[in-house]
This record gives sequence, structure tokens and C-alpha cells, in this order.
Amino acid sequence: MILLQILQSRIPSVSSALFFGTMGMLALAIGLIVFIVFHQRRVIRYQGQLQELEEEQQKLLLNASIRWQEEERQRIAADLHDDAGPLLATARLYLNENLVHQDINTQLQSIYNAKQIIDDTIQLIRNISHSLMPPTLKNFGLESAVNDLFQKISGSGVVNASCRFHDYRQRLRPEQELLIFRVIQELVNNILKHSSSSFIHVTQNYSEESFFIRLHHDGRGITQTDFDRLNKSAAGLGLKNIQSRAKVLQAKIEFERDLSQTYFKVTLEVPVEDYELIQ
Amino acid sequence: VVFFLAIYLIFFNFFVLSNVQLRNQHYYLIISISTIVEFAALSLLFYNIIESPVFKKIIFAVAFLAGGFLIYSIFTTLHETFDSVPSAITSLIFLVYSIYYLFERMKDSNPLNLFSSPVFWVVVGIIIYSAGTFFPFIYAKNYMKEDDFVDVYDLIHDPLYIIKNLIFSFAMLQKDKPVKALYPVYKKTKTKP
Repeated sequence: MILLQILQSRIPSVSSALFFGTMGMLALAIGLIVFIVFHQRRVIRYQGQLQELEEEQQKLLLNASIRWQEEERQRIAADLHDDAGPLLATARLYLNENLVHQDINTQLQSIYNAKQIIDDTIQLIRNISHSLMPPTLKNFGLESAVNDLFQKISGSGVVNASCRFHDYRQRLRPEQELLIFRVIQELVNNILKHSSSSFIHVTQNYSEESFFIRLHHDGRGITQTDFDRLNKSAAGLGLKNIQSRAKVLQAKIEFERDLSQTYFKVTLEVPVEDYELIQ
Repeated sequence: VVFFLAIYLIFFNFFVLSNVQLRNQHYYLIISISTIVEFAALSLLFYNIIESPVFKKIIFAVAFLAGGFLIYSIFTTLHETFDSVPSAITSLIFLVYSIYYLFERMKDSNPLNLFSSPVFWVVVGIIIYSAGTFFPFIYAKNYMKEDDFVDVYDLIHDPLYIIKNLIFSFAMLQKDKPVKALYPVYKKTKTKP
């Protein structure tokens, strides 16, 4: 209809310029809108894939966490069954019904032996309890707990472990401290098991509403790429535990190699917006 | 802003343009005033929907300069024919704003709410209308007296006007879902100690 108007027009050049110019502009505008729509659809599809990957990663972390819990339960069960069970059974043997028919010296000796065994059992149960929740961490905080852990490691004489807390004015929330301590414990455990390093050094800082823990060691370590790869694979239960704890803390964890290539560094950045308010 | 624009368009079409006496005497003056009202309303709309602080300043400066020019042209022209320059300038400005808005949305990490956003459809309406009417507005000054030109002009302008209003109506039916962007484009980043 428009073409008919143009053909019949007394000013065909103007009409055709108007028509084709408008069509060109409209084509450009519609092209732009179509491009945006397709681009957004591609982005949505890409985000869907990313979400799927993240869900898969979450599943892996959840599995790792469940496995870790089960392993921990099995360890506690084994400790109780293999150590506390026989100890208490032995104590029971000393205190059996026949004890009343024994002479007084034998009775005293049996009671003494039973007492010794019960003391050992108490110590064993205390050790199990401490491994579940270190009393130093509960009573004195993260700095003391890490110091305590590192003194024990240094005491072995194989690795020189030290820590320095630069800005630990007040304690974090107990659940945060426990999670950070577990991450440090797991990292140190991995270093001791796999890295053959001669020193481990931990520093703490607080800046811009974030609590930073940095761990250095001079052994064989991993970089962020290795960490991400191991997290996506079925192996590396300890690393998955670190990742899931970092997730609970909403923290960022970064594995890197120093520029001088002499040591590896792990940085844990925990957002603590109300640090000044925590008492 | 869009609601105000809709009310204004209803008022403009039904009360001003339907008044034959007013239309015959001051048609081009009404068109010029309407251009200013539309320019002000849509500048305000773009000022609100564009996130970049730099571009907001540009919108403010352009609104000041172009608004000044539009008001100046009302007082200096005779309103005997269609004034192409202000209309073409506003069309171009809206095209640039719309393209920038779409470019900003492309960078948005949360595209899920784009198609359900009324603002997106309003911008689509503006971009189609501005692009389609750019050439008719340019030629209108010299050829508005020619009946043949007016026929072609109406054939292009009227469908685009209807399409724009249909898209605006569709936009008003959309329910906006303000979803916080996962990684906002203009978010301050902090440095490590």
C-alpha cells in the first residue's frame, strides 16, 4: 500500500527516500531488539548451566559433609568400642561377684586396678570430647587454640609451626571460631600429610569488615586451579570439608603460590560486618 | 512516568487534537508543546532507569540543553509548518538513550526479569517509534503541504503510533519483579589489606 502511494506520488524521490530510510531505521531498531532478546536468552541458558554446575558442586559438598560426619561417627564409635569398651569390661572383671570371697589384699589390689582402669577410661573419654570441641577454643578463643595446636606440632621437632594474630581484639562468634579452627586444622593436617614442609606460619588480620587468616608453608602445595579441580572430583574429602565450611562462613578461600615460588599461601577471608559489636 | 505519559496522551488525543477549531488554528504549536512534554517525561524516565551515574549526568545535561533549545524554538518559529529539527533531535536522543539502556541490560548479570520488566517494553516502544518516525519528521518541514507526502507520512506514522501505544499498554500489564542483581554492575569493590 505504501509502495503504491510512492509510485503514484508526485514527489517519488522524497517518498521513496522516506520509505526506504524509515525501513532501514526500523530494520536496525528491530535487529537491535532481536539481538538483545537472543543475547539474553543465551545468557539465561548459560546461567542455567552454571546453576546446574553449582547444584552438582553443592551435592558433592553435601555428600562429602555426610561422609565426613559418618567417618567421624565411626571413629568415635571405634574409640568407644575398641578402647573404652574393653577398659570398662576389664574394670568390671576386677569388680566381679567373686571379689567378696577373696582375701582383703586381693580385694584392695583389684579395687586399685579397677580405679586405674576407670581413670584411663575417663582420660580416653576426655580425649574424645576434646577432639570434638577443643576446650582451649571454647574457653580462650581462636588465637589460643591455634597456638596450642601449633605448639603440639612444633613439639614433634619435624615442622616449625608458628602463628601471629595481628588484630584479634575480641573473639568472633563461637560457631565462626569453631569453623575457622576446623579449616585451619584441616589445612595443617593436609600440609603434614602431603607437603613435606619444614615450616607452617599462620597470620591473622582484620580489614574492611573481613577477618583474614593466611597460612604459609614451604612444602608441596596446591593452587586455586588444583583446589577447584579436586573439589569437582570425587576425591579430596578434606578439601570438600574446607569448601563447605567456607560456604557456611560465607568466606572466600584462595590457594596460591608465592611469586618467588618458594612457598604456598592459603588465604581465608571471612566477612565479619559486626566484628566491633561482638563481645 | 509511563502512567503520566499515558494520561497525557489520552488527554492530548481526545481533548486537544479532537478540538477541530484548536487543531486548525494552532496545530503546529500544539505539536511543539507536545514534543517538549514528551521529551521531559521520557528524559525523566531514562534518568530513573539508567544506572550509570555518568550517563545520568549526561541525561541531565542533555535535558537542560535540548529542553532549552525546544523552548527557544517554540518562541522563535512561526508554527506555520511542522518543525522538523526539535522532533528529529528528540528522536535521536531517545534512540541513543534506548540503545544505552539496552546495552546496560545486556551487561546485567540477572537477565531473568528483563522480559517481565515494563520498562524494557516501554523502551522497545520508544526505540521502534523513534527509529520509524525519524525520517518522516526530517522531511515533514518541507513537504507537509504536499498531499502525497502527507499520505505516505500518515501511512508510516500512524501504524507506528498505534504499535508504540500497544507496546506501552502491554508494558503496563507487566508486573515488575525487582530482583537484586547477583553482581551489580556499579558496585564498589573493596581491596584486600
